[in-house]
Amino acid sequence: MSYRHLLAAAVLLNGSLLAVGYALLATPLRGRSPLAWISYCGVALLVGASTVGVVLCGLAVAGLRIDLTVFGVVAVLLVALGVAAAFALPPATRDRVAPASSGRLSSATPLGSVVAAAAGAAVVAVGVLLLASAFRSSPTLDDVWGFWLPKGIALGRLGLDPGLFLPGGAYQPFDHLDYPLWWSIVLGLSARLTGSLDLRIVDVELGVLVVAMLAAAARLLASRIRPAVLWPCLLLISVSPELHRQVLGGGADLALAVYLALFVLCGALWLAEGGLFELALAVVFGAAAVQIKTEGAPQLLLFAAVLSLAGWKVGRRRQLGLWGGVALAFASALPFLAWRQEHGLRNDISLRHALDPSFLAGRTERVAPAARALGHQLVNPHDWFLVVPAVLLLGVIGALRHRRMLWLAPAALVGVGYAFWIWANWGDTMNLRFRLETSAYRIVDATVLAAAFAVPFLVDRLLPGRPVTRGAEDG
Amino acid sequence: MVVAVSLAALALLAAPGRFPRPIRQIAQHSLNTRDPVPTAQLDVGALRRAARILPARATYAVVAPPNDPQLAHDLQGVAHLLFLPALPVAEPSRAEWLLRYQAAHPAAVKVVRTYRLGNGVVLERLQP
Repeated sequence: MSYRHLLAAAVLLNGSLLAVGYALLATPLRGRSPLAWISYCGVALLVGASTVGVVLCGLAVAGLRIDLTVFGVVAVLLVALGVAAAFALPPATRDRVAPASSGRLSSATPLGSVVAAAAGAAVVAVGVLLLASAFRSSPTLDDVWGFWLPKGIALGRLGLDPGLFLPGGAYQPFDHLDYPLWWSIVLGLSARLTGSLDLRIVDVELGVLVVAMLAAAARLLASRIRPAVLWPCLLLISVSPELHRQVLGGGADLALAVYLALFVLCGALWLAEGGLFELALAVVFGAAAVQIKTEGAPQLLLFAAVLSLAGWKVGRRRQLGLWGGVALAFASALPFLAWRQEHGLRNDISLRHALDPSFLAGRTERVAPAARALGHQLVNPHDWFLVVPAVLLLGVIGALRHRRMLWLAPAALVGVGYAFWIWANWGDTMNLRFRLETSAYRIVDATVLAAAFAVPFLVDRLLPGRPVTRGAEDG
Repeated sequence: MVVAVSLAALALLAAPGRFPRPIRQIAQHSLNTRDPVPTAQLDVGALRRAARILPARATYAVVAPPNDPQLAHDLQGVAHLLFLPALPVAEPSRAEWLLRYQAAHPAAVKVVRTYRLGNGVVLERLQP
């Protein structure tokens, strides 16, 4: 079986997204070394994918068919805009939005260097294997061919046709009409690029997003965490069986988790350090999150609230910056929300039910099974390996040793995500057993990954020997 | 070391034939197809042949065996994906085309032309 057309489609799509991302990062990265630019490839790809997807969502609502021509024109315009900004903006402005450091911490001991090199090589190998398996698998989740991809194909061939995207029209509509369009648009473009509707491109694209997430996290943490801690922690995340299973599933939950996790990471860095670069990234990642799935919006709000509470001492400017960023991310979704409102399209899960105490009181028998199933998904090593237990254990150790509640912020994030999904299943009207069997394993993704990037921080701060030497600083 | 491990992994990706069992499990060879992988036994090849015949923006209906809800569900979804930009309607009487999947002919529709796609799958052009 030939993979040439798959490879060509993946290279074309992700090459374009990478170009857009780098163009948008050109202002903050201008003047850095080529190696520093390369180290931002994961960030650039995710920024490009988020921005292109968000713009195309708006254009779909405006009535355009989202085909390859529109995609190409949007990509070229965004590249031109990014490059023009990099040359037109004064150096003082560029400096304000530049990352504080594009360097990395170096290992203080030979053993640290060996550990970092071995773990780093293992992460790269796991990433390559993940992509290899994605190239050899059609998506296992029926939602992908049931509605995510058909919506994307329809947006490319017919546009946002009310007959297909609204109930009660002339045709049989898609399922889950309330879901935003970002993931469908990305999948639709990917599938069109294969030329023969090859569904393996779905897994490939999800695999690319996951690998880009690991690369982006490595870049953002490399100047803050010593490598002998960073790389083993990234390995811990990357070898989680559920991560690999869900790449082969092709569902939007993992794509949502990628963007929510990076929103949390960048939001936390903004609160801790006040760098505008990280705040801008948080906005871009948050914008994608609210346009991938409906549940992205409430989770974004909850995670931002946890960040805000954990950083309550940082001062008004950073708090306002965080919430301003959240508002901007939500504003990017306004076109589709307005379209939904205009056509009376409601959420599949009724918020009125979920907030009605008398409704909830009449179905309390749903709470315990939901809590059990979701808790099992969070801590079972066959699913997310040891990520969540590590977050909880390290947080408690740090809090006890340093007598600071801040150490428990990542654990609080897990608790809030867990409570949110128990509540969502409690207020839902679908058969609980069916709901949990078909979705519990994937709805916890965002909670797990958002907390996962706290593990390197917790380990690094618990181990003795900080601060360590700084190497390869440039820019 | 990073380069060596990456090259080894890339070589595995490019290598033809069967992989050792652990890698085969990771790669999920049983799913290595460009087609959707439905729960029910569905002849996706026949549906792809139907997709090549259906004109763009034509309306179609799908008829599945009444005693197999999983097949009906999967057939509906896969047809929705592969037949775009043809448009699905619920009632055969409102459709220009009819896809019968191992199912009897519904009443009240007149067939103009029949395409046999194999495995009991038939695409029919209906009289308007």
